[in-house]
Amino acid sequence: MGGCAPAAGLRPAVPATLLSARLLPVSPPPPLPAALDAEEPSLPAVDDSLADPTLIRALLALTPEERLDRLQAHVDGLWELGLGDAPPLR
Amino acid sequence: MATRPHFADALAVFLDHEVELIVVGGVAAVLGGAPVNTLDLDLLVRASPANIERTVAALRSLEALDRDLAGRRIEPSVERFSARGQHRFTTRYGDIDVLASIGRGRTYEDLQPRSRPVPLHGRSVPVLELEAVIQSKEEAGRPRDHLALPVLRETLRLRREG
Repeated sequence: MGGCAPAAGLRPAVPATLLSARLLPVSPPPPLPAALDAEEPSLPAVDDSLADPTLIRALLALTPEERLDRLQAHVDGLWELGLGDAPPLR
Repeated sequence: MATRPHFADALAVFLDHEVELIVVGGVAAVLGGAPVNTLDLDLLVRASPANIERTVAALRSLEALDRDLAGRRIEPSVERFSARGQHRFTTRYGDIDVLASIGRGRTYEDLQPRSRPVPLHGRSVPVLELEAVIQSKEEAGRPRDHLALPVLRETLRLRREG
């Protein structure tokens, strides 16, 4: 299944955060829910404004593996910015 | 402290342990082409005794601990999984939800026909098709799931347009 991060050849030439921020916009994480079965610890960042056909077509042009690598690069970018070390989101 | 997700590596561990699974949730949506973000990996697993044992073994090799709000250190076990059928783990490759059903109680057996093998880094990974991801989020009925629906539906529409 490959390495922890996208393979070197799959790494974008520009910083991952910049590239992924364009393809996978992100909003601040939601506040900590209290219940055990509360929301998932995801960064939803999805609203009607993100149903952008241009953005979606850009992802559809990629292979599934490239899409996963793009998501991984986005997550890596969050961690490089120190945002991934926030407390668990639930 | 949250652990950085490594989606492909986490999946590889489950495949190495021959866990019968389907990738669902946000990662399945991304693999289907939807521009959504997620920090966790959601896996629907066959809830057979043998597969639960393999799942627990995979989780242990990932140093998984139940995400327990009370801060207790709870390791995965067959007994706990069998009792609840849904567990949220923190692992060395990020947060992983292991589920026996999603949406309106749909199991691995229910959704296997609606999954397809996706090649990822030399492995074939069963992934829930986008239509079924949308259905599961509609059925889950949580606000966050509903927020994602416009993007997912638009992605599906554009995919059908070809």
